[in-house]
Amino acid sequence: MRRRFRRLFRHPPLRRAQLERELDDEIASHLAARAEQLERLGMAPADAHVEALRRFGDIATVYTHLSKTAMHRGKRMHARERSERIRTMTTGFSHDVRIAARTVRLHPTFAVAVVATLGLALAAAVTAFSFLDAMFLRPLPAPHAEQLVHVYLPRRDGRLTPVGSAGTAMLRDRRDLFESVAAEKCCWVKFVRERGSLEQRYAAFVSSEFFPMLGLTPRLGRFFAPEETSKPGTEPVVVIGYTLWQRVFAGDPHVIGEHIATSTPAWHDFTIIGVAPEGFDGIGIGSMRSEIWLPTTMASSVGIGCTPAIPCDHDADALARLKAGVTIQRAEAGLANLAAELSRVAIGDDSVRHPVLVRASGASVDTQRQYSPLARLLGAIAALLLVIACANLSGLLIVRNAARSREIALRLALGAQRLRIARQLLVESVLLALLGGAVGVALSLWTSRELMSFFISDSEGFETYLHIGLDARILWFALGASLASTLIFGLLPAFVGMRAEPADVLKSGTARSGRTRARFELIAVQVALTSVLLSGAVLLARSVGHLLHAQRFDVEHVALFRVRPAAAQYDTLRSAQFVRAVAERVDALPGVEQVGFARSSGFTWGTSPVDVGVGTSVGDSAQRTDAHFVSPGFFATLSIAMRSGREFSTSDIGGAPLVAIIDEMLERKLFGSGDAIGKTLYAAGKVFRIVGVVPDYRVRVANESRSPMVFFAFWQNALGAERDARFAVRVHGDPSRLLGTIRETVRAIDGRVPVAEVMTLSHQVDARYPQIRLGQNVLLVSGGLALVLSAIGLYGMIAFVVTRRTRDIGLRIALGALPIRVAGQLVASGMRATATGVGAGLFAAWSLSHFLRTWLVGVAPHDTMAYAVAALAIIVTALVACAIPATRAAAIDPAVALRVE
Amino acid sequence: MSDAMPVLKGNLDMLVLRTLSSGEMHGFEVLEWLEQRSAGRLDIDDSAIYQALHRLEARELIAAEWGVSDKNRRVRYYRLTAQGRAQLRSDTARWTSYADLVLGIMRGSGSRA
Repeated sequence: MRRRFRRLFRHPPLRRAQLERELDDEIASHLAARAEQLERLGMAPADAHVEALRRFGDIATVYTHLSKTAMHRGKRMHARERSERIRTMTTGFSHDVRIAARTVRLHPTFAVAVVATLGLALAAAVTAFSFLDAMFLRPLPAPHAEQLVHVYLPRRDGRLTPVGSAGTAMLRDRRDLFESVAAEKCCWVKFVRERGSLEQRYAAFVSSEFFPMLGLTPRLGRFFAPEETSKPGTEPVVVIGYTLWQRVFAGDPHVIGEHIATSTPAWHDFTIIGVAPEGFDGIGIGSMRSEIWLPTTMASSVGIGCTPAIPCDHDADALARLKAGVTIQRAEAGLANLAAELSRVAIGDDSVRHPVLVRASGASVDTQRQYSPLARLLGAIAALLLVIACANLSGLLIVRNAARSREIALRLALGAQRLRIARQLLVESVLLALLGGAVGVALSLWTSRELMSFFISDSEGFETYLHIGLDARILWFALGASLASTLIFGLLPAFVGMRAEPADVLKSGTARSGRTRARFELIAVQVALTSVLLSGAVLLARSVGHLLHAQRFDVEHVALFRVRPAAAQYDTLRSAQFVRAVAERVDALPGVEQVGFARSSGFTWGTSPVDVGVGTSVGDSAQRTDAHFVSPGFFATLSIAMRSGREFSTSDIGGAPLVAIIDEMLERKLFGSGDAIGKTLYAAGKVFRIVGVVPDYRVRVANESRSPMVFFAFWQNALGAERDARFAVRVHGDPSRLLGTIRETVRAIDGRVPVAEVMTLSHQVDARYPQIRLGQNVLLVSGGLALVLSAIGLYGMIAFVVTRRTRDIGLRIALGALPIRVAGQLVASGMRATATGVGAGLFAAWSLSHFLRTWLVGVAPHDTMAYAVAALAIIVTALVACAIPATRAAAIDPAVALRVE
Repeated sequence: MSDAMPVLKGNLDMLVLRTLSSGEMHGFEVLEWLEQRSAGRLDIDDSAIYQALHRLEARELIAAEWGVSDKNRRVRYYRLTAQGRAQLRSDTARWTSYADLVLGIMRGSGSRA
């Protein structure tokens, strides 16, 4: 009856029994404490218990009294608990945060480990994302940038071809789709004379719509008028950049109306009509900052190698602003009927049926394609590091939660809700994640700068225009990434912790569940991912090693520079005099060992080859070669040893018998296995006697094909007059210290001749292959980081097992087990996880290695050595990480261990 | 315990509140604290402490929570509530002024209070 009554009102029937049991427990606990205290004071155990009871007083009366109070309290609590349960679920949040903050303060080592791990991984992720952001996502700095698009014609090979100025004019008529359309051709290098000095400038050709479309107003003067960029033959005008105005014209307000001149192919005067606003450097993201803007109609006058059939602005980009409300899809569909004509105007045939519109964000599509392997690599590395970090953090949390399992079990036993505890754990994780995120963003400011330094200049000394820095998108990304990691690393341990039955935990003192095994699995995953990163790093490191050494010349002590008398409109004779003077004066500088020069030198050999057909009989031009024009002493300057024969000498000049030097590859192709010295070859209808053979020029990226090489004497001018020259200077010590002196020396000879590409050879190597070098550095750093994380994980794991099994281990040692065997077993368990991880990781790396193929020089993607080195590094690190705590276990004193509770 | 002194019921509650004002404690710790402060001269049954604790808890002047002691024993921890803290303040004020008054009379220095 009473029971039914209770059920009716949902009154908990066990309330009374529970309160009584709690009272029992409290009194028992008190009696035990009192007895213990008495024992400490010297009383015999039996006496102590009696005395404790006596001091407690009349237990029966007290008990009745106490239980009455307790029941009274219990009823009130019950009513309150209900309302409180609802309240805590909704408002307990700030309480959770306070508790979490306190927990973090109480366990600083743990907090530091978590924040550091997460911070490092997030720094990598944020850096990678910053790069992706700058390269692919960031909209142009213009109002309503979402309406700005590029129009391209997709070719059969997948490349997107620009529509050119002519195509742009056709698009301009589509008022139904576009508000305005501008032609823009970015990033030309011109030699420009301003106020007497001749300098390299980065120019862009734009049509009159360009500046207004970007919402810009001139800092001074005006921008182009429509007729200035549509009718060829109008007075040539130029808009200069703010920085140039400040630097060269010292911010002179009277600069409008002044003239500047471009030097090639002939002097061409331009009148300055305006100055661009401060901070605007053009839209050549990933390429170059524009310093001057010229009308598109001028492209053919100042461009080189243009013909009336293929004018220099035939590859100008169309930058269009969509009409409000017009979507990309609608505009593409709307252009379909224009496609054939557009295609004919732009590429000469009507093969393209569907022009495509690409939102104008980040770099140009060409640049994006060029950098997409690097972007993918950075993204993949960042993702791997994040996963490794999450695995590590899960491990850390599992260990810590194991230490807290008693606390959690107690709270569960006392009726705390699982959800409530899980939430508490989660709040703790979120707090740590936010701290880690903040550290990651802070670190990424530095790592992004390091990343940028790889783009500071290319192999010809041009600065890359890429702004990598924080913006709102990056901060959102960082927040998202840290919270996502939190969900991964915080929830898993929370659920593992929740699974344990409180009663078991309280009884055994520890929670034995699958969590030791779970942690070993986490470590295997970490080790596997580390193997992937590390073997990739070793592959690229070997690739860089080949870049530097397969060349067979010493890159360390060489300075480079280039003189451009041709840009100053010097004729052949005057150029030759100048180059000779430069060679003599630089050679005389203190610290200079030897000077050599060529039309192109060092790693730019690969960038400006001159195709020359050579053969073994007159008129036979069967073999295409890279031709180079080099000075006497050139090979010695680069420490390239002649395989046989001699270098060019000072007597190999015009009028003397024509001579040539070939590489081993050409020797094989032309003469089979025989020695080529003294034989003749024919090129451009002339006969050359071969005087020397040099080793093969080895620097090639794996998938790049390579032509054989032939070298002609610079001063013989056998295939046309030489004017410009690239110098290599071998010096004692650090070549970078001599760069300034060299520049001044050359300037002193003739200030009108531009000096360019002043840099060290090793810098040129880096700049020529920034992706390989960068990839290697990024992989090495992240591989190292992953290795450290995995080592910490392993170390923590073994240490955890040792602490857990201290009693066990002590017992076994007490029973006669050899300490070395105990240690051995611990190491073995760690190494089993490592072996699994390394195995899986190497397999994954092996199958993924083809992604690196484009950057591998002289190394096969399946280079066994690289994998062996990576595996060895991991195994050695793992051994050390396991051995330290294992040795500690072996040193456990059984007598002490057995007393541990 | 030659000069042991019995404690009045109302006073014991106040003493327990004072004890808990120095931090969270379980029953035996409260007892130990009082024993130390009084140099063992307070004559209380151990059970009286628990009665006081439960009484105070019922009046919501203190709150209790199960926990684990330094010696890994399952114990009930008590701490002051905001209400308890206020009660302690007013008790202390009332008691000291009362004691001053009584002392003054007994020593005969203040003829009138």
